[in-house]
This record gives sequence, C-alpha cells and structure tokens, in this order.
Amino acid sequence: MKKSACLRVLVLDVHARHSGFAVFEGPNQLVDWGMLHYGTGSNGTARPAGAQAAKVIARSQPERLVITMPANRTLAGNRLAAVAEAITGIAAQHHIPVRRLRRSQVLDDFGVRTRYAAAGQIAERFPSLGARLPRRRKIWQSEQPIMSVFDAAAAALAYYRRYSRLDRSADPLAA
Amino acid sequence: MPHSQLENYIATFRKQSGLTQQEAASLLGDRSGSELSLFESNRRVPTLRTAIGLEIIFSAPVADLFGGKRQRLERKIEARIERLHARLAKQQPAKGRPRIEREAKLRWLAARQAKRSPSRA
Repeated sequence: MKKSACLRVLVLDVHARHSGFAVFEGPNQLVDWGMLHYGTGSNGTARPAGAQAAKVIARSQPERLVITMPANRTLAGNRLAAVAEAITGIAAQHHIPVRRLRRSQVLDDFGVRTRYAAAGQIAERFPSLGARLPRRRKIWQSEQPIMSVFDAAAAALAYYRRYSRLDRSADPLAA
Repeated sequence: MPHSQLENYIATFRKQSGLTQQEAASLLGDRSGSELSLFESNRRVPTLRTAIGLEIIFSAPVADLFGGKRQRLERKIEARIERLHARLAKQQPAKGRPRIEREAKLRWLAARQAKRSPSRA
C-alpha cells in the first residue's frame, strides 16, 4: 500500500443483525471492507457482536473507530444501542478512541439526500466496491445487507472531511 | 502514514482485484483458499514462493504486500546498522589491511545513508 499521511480508521455501520465495515488509511485508501453477521437469540451467544467486532479490530488495528447507525427511534433501537455499546467496549479494551457519526451528518457531507446517492458516489470513487452496489430497492423490498458497507465507506470519508485533515491534531480526540 | 502499517495487505489487493480467496489460491497453484485465508489473517507466514507468486498476481512489490512486516524489519535492521556504525567509528584506527577495511565499511555506510536520505525527505 502507498504510504498515507492519515490515520487508519475503522468504520462500522451498525444494524441489529449485521454490521458493514470499512477500513481506510486516508480518504483515498480503502484497505478492507466486509460484513459482520451476528446471531440473535440462541445464536447470539455463539456469535456475539462484540466478538465479531474484536476480530475486525485485531485484524485492521485501527487508530480510530467510527460508529454510525440508524436513528434510535427505529423498532430495533434498543438492540442497536446494545450492539454499539458492546463494540465500544471492545474498542476501549484496545484503547481506540471512538467517534459516532449520524447518518444525517454523512449525507450533509456528501451533499445528497439519500444513502443510495452517497453509495453511488462511493461506487464511482472505489471501483472495487462499485461491482457490489445493490440495485435501488423498491419500497416493498428489504434492504440488501451489503448496503451497510457503502454506508460505512461514506461515513469514513465524512470522518476524514470533518476531523482528520492530514493532521492528527485536527482531531480533538487525538492524544 | 498510520503509526504502523498492517502486517500484510494481501486481502486489500485481492479484494481490489475482485478475486475470491478460492480464485487467488488457484492462481497460486493451491487447491483451496484456506491457506490464503491463513496468510491474510496473519496466522501463517507464506513461503518465498507464495510471496513472489502474490507479487506476480497483484503486480505489487512484496514490500507493499507485506508493509507491516517490512516496516518492522526495516526498523530492526536500521538499529543494527546504527550500532555497527557506532562500533566502527569508535574503533582505534588500525594500520594496514584492517584500517582499509574499516574505512571501506564506513564509506559504504555513508553512501548508503546518503542514498536513503532523499527518499525519507
């Protein structure tokens, strides 16, 4: 990988049953991406969200963790909050500062109104992800889980625009 | 750059290429992608043959594929070279062949340092 002047950032787009993740070493350097699936109910003990997140954190060794998730007013709000808390706990164990970004902040940074529009920009910018861009869903269809990878990538770019301008001191979380 | 690079970037290059682990492993001449998975997750160190194979497949130097490993090795070797330099500089200037050899080593170290300095700037 080319040397970059930016922090390595892991972004998790948290959902109740899965999370999309993206690892960046600067706004132009997409290092890794993928999905975490965690079970609920009886499976929840076998594949807890925290353990899944711990694996990605161990593999990607991020210097910042950014969490983005749907608004809390959804039905799965409590579950989401628990998952986010578990992930934050794992990050704390690894001494990784955590920042939360709202989806509205991400969309504002992209200057678009929908997540699909932001995902389209991500797909253009990172052709390796572009092949996986899901078709825009109809109103009666469920969302493709892979969409959360695009949300995570969009949040990563929003993070760099907001907080990490090639200078660690620009990030108020920086030590 | 981030404080430390990742141990390896095999998964990055593979995902950028769009290849699955199975496909990349078959290009390396392996039957399954399980061994490649071990390399990607740092649970096994690839052989020289595999490392060169990965360089050929992804058209990326081994130093880029194994950025973190290279970074760590570089730090260790640079520290050893510093120690060698200090030892040579401290030695009493001997006479005859030992002196010529010592000066040749110091010249090589100075030339090496000069060659590396522009790339660091």
